[in-house]
Amino acid sequence: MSEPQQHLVALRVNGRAHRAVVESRTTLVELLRDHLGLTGTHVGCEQGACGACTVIVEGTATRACLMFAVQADDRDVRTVEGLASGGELGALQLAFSEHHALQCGFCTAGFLMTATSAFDDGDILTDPVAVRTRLSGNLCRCTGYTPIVEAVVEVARRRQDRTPG
Amino acid sequence: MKAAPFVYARAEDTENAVALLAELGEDARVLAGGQSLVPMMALRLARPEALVDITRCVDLKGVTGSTTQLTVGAAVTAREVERHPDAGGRHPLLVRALGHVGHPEIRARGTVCGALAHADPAAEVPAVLLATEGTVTFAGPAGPRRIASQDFFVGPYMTALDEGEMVVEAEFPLPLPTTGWAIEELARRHGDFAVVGTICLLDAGADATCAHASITLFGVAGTPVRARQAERAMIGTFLDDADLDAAASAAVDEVDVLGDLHGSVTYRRSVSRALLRRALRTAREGTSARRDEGSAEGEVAG
Amino acid sequence: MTAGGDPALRELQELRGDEPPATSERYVGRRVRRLEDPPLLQGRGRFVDDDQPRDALHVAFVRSTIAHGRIVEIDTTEAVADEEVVAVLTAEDIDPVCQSWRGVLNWPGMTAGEQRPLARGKVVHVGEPVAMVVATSRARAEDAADRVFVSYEELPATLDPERALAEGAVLIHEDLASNRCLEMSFGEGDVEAAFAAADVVVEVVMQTGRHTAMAIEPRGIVASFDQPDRRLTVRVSTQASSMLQTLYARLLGLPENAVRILTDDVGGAFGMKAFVYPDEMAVVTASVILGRPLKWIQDRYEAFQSDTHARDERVTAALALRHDGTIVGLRSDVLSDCGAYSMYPRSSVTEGVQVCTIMPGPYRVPCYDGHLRVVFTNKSPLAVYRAVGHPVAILVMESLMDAAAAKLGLSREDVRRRNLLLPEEMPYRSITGNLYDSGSHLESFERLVELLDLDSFEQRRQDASARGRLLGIGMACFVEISAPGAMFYGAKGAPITAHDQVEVRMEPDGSVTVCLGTPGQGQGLHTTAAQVAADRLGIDISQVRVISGDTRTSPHGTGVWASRSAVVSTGAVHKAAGEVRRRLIMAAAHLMEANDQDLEITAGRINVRGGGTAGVSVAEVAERLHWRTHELPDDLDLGLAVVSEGRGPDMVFNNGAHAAIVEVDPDTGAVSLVDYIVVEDCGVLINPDIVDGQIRGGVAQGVGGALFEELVFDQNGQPQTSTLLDYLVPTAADLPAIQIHHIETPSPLTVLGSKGVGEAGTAGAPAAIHAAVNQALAPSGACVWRQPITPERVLGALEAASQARRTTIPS
Repeated sequence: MSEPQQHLVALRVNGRAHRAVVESRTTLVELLRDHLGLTGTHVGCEQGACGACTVIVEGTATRACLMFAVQADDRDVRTVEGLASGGELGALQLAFSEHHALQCGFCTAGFLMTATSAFDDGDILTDPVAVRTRLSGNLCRCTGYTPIVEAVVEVARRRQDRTPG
Repeated sequence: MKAAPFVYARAEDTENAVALLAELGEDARVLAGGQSLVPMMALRLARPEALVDITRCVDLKGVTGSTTQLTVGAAVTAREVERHPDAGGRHPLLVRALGHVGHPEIRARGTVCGALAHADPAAEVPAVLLATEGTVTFAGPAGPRRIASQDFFVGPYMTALDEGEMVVEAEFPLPLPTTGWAIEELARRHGDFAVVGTICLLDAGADATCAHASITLFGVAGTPVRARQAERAMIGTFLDDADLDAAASAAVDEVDVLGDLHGSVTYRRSVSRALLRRALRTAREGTSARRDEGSAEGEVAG
Repeated sequence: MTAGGDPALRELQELRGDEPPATSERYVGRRVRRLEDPPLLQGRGRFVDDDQPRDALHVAFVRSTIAHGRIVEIDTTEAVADEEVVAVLTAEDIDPVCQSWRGVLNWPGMTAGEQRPLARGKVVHVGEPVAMVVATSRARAEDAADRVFVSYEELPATLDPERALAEGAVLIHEDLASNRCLEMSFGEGDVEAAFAAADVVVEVVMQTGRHTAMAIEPRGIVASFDQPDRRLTVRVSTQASSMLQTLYARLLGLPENAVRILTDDVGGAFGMKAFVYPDEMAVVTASVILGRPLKWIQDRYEAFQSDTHARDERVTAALALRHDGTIVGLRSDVLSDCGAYSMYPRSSVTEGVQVCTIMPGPYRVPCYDGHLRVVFTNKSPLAVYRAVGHPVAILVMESLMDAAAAKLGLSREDVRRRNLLLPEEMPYRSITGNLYDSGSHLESFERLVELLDLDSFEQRRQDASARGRLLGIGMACFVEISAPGAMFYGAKGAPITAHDQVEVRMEPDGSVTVCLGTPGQGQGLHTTAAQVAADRLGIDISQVRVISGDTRTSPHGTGVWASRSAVVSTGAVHKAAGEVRRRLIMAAAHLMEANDQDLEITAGRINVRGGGTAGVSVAEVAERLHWRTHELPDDLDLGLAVVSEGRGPDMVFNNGAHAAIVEVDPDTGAVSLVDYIVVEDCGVLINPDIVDGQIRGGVAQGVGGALFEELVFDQNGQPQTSTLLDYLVPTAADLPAIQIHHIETPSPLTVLGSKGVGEAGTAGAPAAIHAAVNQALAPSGACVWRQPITPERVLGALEAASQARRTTIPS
């Protein structure tokens, strides 16, 4: 078998520059986990159906299992490891813990990144029904979703209270 | 599963992409959003030997609206169309249909033209193209081609694209201001592929009779299907409930409905009839004749 | 995995702004934030795939593509030639090193086929591992696996359990006399006489869909064998580490003290990760043979073919009653589709057994005949999945009760009231021998009825009808077995420990480490352990760190199964912490020249009860017990590290009642779950958030089984549902906010009065939803008898009823 094609990928992850040499078929999630040691993003299906691998690429929530690493060249990526700064949990993470929105924790990073991206997009997340629809691309087998929805709604309401006008 | 090995090439523009496809051989495929192709590669059901990535081709990122159509470049994502300041107002049907496509994370990278090229029988975007009689433009070694929607979808996951050709843009004719439209679909869960879907557009003339009807079913056959006989039979009717119900039944009878894991033939026929009845009523309420009567306002529900 | 003393955790606790009460019970019963959360929220979890040893090789399996056949040849020449491939192994390589096994327990007459890591001679289900490729990366291993060519002589596939028992059926395991794994009867009493004398008999025939746990984290394993030292180290996503320590040792001929199992975070298990899996065993064995660390992470496609399945039962059941609704007899015939193997070591009959034995539920059933057949077919093996058997048992019984109500002209509530057990009947021995130690069987149902406001139902039904929807409310009453003891598995010959062990250890500075024998998969075991330890020791919870997950340093544990942690795991913490407490008190008594009986520990200080003195801090005493033992008498116990067990009674039963409200679209058959209410009695709540979390998650999985999840096979045994777009798991949009109300009837049999609850949500949901759908359909004369209740099945029922009405209308 001939040597597989390799690519040098230079990207920014959580604000830091990284370089890696990857094969064509290496996915973004494999780059993050295996090459950069950022194992907070998880793989649940490799089909884009479970949402566990969701990261934020160029400001938009994206399935890291459906993007090849080489496609992330010169791109900004945010992962769950970038949500907290200096060991301090962000508001969404704290809300997840307050509401018992995680049990085994395997799907949690995907939910956090999806919700973070939804907030960045300016989605209306103060209504639980709208939140359930917005999060319907992320699967969880442990929590029954109610506390995840409550956590997101609470953060949305607090943000709304802080917004003037 | 991990994808089988392939050669990756990033195209700078359309010309470059066509040249790369030619160079990389008959098993080379276009990589746009990858939201349909990559899952198939991850199951090793698709094993392209090469991928030509068009996602950074600036000349394929255009979204242009005219008074008659919305033109979408091959590298434009569903999300970009949804959030485009112009698109929602011009083509509310397309934007509404996009809302049914998977989830926002899928639409972040999945392209509108990619959905056309992938030609999943249960997909919404091909159905919109067929319902509105759009066209697809491709580039290839033999030069540009433009194909009408009714000739584009050939079978399940099969289009009229020849080897070495790639979609450049798609034109989605706008529903007329006088047209009432609706999209109804039954999916098991939000964002799933349609088990049965329908798109209906109706136009009534000054005499309040039906001047134009477009009835499309998707998820029930190898491609989206227009029920043309049923459409013709509607012309000149007053679009009474009885006319609509007759059209719904006629449309279902006309189409060769297929069954699979998610719905048998019998089930899909029953549901098609029910969804058609709903969609035709909604479309009727959206026609300018009805709107003038003050029964429904503005945009109609899907 | 460690916790406590974590700045993020402290921040979480400060957020709540609670004042700790002055009583000694400070954490048990309170909503304490989980210790497990901060690392998981920051992406610092440690799941098996997060272990990335540099020198590890990667495994991909070649799996059977047919449901039944003889292996004629395995051609590995092309695969082996790949320079990135280190080895391609088959049964010939594995069998000399690893014994085969059979999932047999000492149920009378039970048989099971021989199973081994890689198939030898025959394959008996699609997905059975046949060969394994070891290469420098998973991708290269898969490339090579594509070039392993297996030729089979295909044999007829048996997919229907009835046909598997029929005369002349093809034997799946040729060394067994038939395809019957187990046949036996449960219950007592003269059922024939009872039925003959009954005023009314109702019967149901029901079928539940085959489904699977679908944990978001696939299975995975990293195994390495130190050849000179003959020590095996395995990191695995499992719920039963100590059990695997025993079984890997046994199957490989190693002493158990040479086997080390590492399990940190597990991304969901639900009963599925409690077995010896052939693929995992193949990886372990290959690591011994090759002397290299090997890693295998299952992908989702493989998971559908290789994870254990569940809930594939056909039940015919009948209920006999008097006119006033009193139950006089129950009978059931249960056919459980076992798949190709009985899984090892718990076997694949537990589900069928519990369908039979749980069926009487919270009702007074004076006589019962439950007949069980567990049968082999050419599918992936069935085993245990959350609430094992309960969902089916309760579905059947509640359907019988609703049918009885209709036939008797009684309300569904009244027929239940007539038969639900009362507190004065506790402890109650059911007709199948289960002992209900305590409970609020009738009370929980009455509470549910009150919450439902059934009087308003008719108005709600009309409102829904105006929107073109059929509304239905369904109710289900149930009991759930929790924390069964050794008679469940150990007594039946399985190397499964029913008691848990925990070490509680205090350092000289008074800080505490609790080391659990049983790591969790999301149930918050670390948090509940910290709550119990902090209360027992009278110290602040921030002083407690909880670790688990290394059999070399953790005590031998029971694992997580059958909702046992709240009983045996917390029982073990309670006992170990209690002994540490006793030693602190005895030392303090000496130092303070006080009577040990008069001392108490509050907020980290040991004081004379009711006395005004300052006392001594726990840390001062701990320090002395380590460094200044010359100040203490010779006969005092000095060690502040204590291992204790939590044994639990033979079984503890919780109870509850669920209600589901659904809307059916009569044009499409689509069912929406509009509301869901749970009344749950699981005794004393240690951490209400964790309990509610278990209930909600359990309900969600029950909803999945009731409405969405089904593994489908074609007539050749080929799986048709191999991705998450075909096997449908409920999403956030498919579930309403699940409301939970608690009754706390303490168990007289457990240390804290707690009962297990992990599976209760799943136990009741399929029944409640089924009843709701049938109530919605009833005015149309339609009903459904099969789960999952798909839109197609609903529409089919409505259309059949409509046909029946048309044909019976006189012309």
